[in-house]
Amino acid sequence: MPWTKVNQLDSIEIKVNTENVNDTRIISYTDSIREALSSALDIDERVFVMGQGINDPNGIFGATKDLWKIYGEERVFDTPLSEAALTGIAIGSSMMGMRPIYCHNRPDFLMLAMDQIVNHATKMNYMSGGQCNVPLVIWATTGMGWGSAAQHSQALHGLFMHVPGLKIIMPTTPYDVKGLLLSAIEDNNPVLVFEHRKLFNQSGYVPENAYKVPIGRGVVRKAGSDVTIVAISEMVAEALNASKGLEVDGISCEVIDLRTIKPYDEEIIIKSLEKTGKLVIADTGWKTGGVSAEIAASIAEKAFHLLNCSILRLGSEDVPTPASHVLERAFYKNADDIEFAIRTMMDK
Amino acid sequence: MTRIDKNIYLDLYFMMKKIRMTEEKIAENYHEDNMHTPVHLYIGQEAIAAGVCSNLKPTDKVFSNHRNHGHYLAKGGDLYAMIAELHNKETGCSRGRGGSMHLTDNSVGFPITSAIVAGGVPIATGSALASTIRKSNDVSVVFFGDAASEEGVVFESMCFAALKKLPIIYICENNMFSVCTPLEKREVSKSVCKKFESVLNVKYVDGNDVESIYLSAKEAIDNARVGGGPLVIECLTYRMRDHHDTRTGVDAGYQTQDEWQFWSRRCPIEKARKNLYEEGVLDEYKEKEFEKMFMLVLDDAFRKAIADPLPKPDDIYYGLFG
Repeated sequence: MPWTKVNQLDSIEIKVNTENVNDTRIISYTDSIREALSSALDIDERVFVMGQGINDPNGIFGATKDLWKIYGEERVFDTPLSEAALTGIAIGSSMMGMRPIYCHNRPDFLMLAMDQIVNHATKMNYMSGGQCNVPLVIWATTGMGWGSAAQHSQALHGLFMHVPGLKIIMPTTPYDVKGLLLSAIEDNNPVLVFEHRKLFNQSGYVPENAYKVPIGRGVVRKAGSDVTIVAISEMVAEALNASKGLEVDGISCEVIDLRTIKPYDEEIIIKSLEKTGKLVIADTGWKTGGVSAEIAASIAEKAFHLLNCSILRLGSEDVPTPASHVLERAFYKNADDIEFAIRTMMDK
Repeated sequence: MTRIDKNIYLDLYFMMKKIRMTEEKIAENYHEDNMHTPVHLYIGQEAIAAGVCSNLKPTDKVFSNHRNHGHYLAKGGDLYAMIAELHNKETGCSRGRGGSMHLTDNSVGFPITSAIVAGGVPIATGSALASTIRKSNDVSVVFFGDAASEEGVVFESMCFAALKKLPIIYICENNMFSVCTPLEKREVSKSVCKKFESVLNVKYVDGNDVESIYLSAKEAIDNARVGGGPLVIECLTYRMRDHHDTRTGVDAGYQTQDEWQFWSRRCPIEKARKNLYEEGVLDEYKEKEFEKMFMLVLDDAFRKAIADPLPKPDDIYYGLFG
């Protein structure tokens, strides 16, 4: 299979915002996703892309724009809503050896497909004693702001983290999104890809050729010695901004971008804690019962001896996302909140 | 006077017998407690599995449900592996990880079954989509019950199949009960597939007449294979045992003796037997020979299954990821 010819390259230190780098190939996050999909469609004839609105004039947020013109509507096709049935259809085709990528606008809509995702996709291989792979990719983008409100703003990766039999990737840079998506498509198992709307507003270095970023490996975005900030998705940007402010006052933060939520890179966190002894976890999901809770519990179990103070978690307020912008500001945690929390932590 | 080739009819009869004898042996042995798995017996519905599956190639795919023993065997699934699976053994067709409700035999086009009612319907539709994209001429068939027709995902799947003209046949086995709840408490129509008529053509057949099923299925499958698109076949039938476990619905208190007797007299195997005797292709000798031969096969399967090893607890993560 040509997938073996796609090299695995881990990402170099890439800043989240646009920057001049020595290598001149800078493209947008959106184009990077599109390149990943295009590469996959080129490499592997089993790959196809489906979803409501993927063949709109602008595609889904630009990421699937005009792919059908190159690859044809048999392989890149718009769909009726029917999320439950279409997830099952994607599962069935993948069990027969195809590699579907099912794109949704928002994770919120995956709730309509929960039975097929949780009861079927994650279980077919296990129930059959390893005989029925489900190489399915489900892609969605968490919304944020402009009064999107409760049903179009959910960050639901925490819900899915609970379920055995799937993987979850949450890339944050143009480099990572292409490499991780390609790894996800190559993977023989269900992989959920959760983007974040705000991360589309960036450009960065992306190699022209196809490459894979390994699933399950985090990266240190900024080295530091006083506090470890484990950040997920858009919170990586917030954490990097917070660490700039803290640096001024001599507080050195190490920012880890997990990139994969399930399975997540525990080793990189523990290695960082050996230096800092202080852990802050910043997630885009609700604080209760989600990713930050799981990581905190797991680190407390495995690396308690490395901690010299309580673990601190930042997540969205435990309410449905409100529409009014003043309430939105209260709902979401940002760089200021991270800074404030760390200053308080360091004062103790 | 039979409507199909006598030898095909005889094969169908023997397949129904095979299913019936297997199910009855499972029922007989179930309360020995060597099979730690809920069983949903197919007794009374054999004509449907036999009549449909005999029209399929090994590369065609069958998607079944929790009541899967008949479909598994009719598609050519390995009997011993099924019995071992029921006994939760490592040698089971799903390596002991699935149990009765989740049988697999990829070698004959029988992927793992889902026990979420209607869960397999979109998955089967996806299998048909794969055939279309690949341009293979494989047909996918999905078996589901009257209660499954009440899940929205079935209608959604059929709409998509109609849109893409997928090579899939939807077989609804209407046995008129959703566990204990009779059809009249659940729907306005006696034909549960009437609600799909706006999307797909629906054929209604006697689910206890293997000839009718064979003929309807043959037409539908052959047509789908050459791009004629999907079809629904509703087969009216009755299950002679409870939803799960071994007693009858009468003993369980939700079926009447009269109704049960009525359907007992309409047994699909008895009907075929009578016709085949009349045609002179079946006689007592052939019958007894088959029963004797197959009982040996069954006994052997049970004996081996009981002796086989159970999975190792240390292997609990096996098959989580492919």
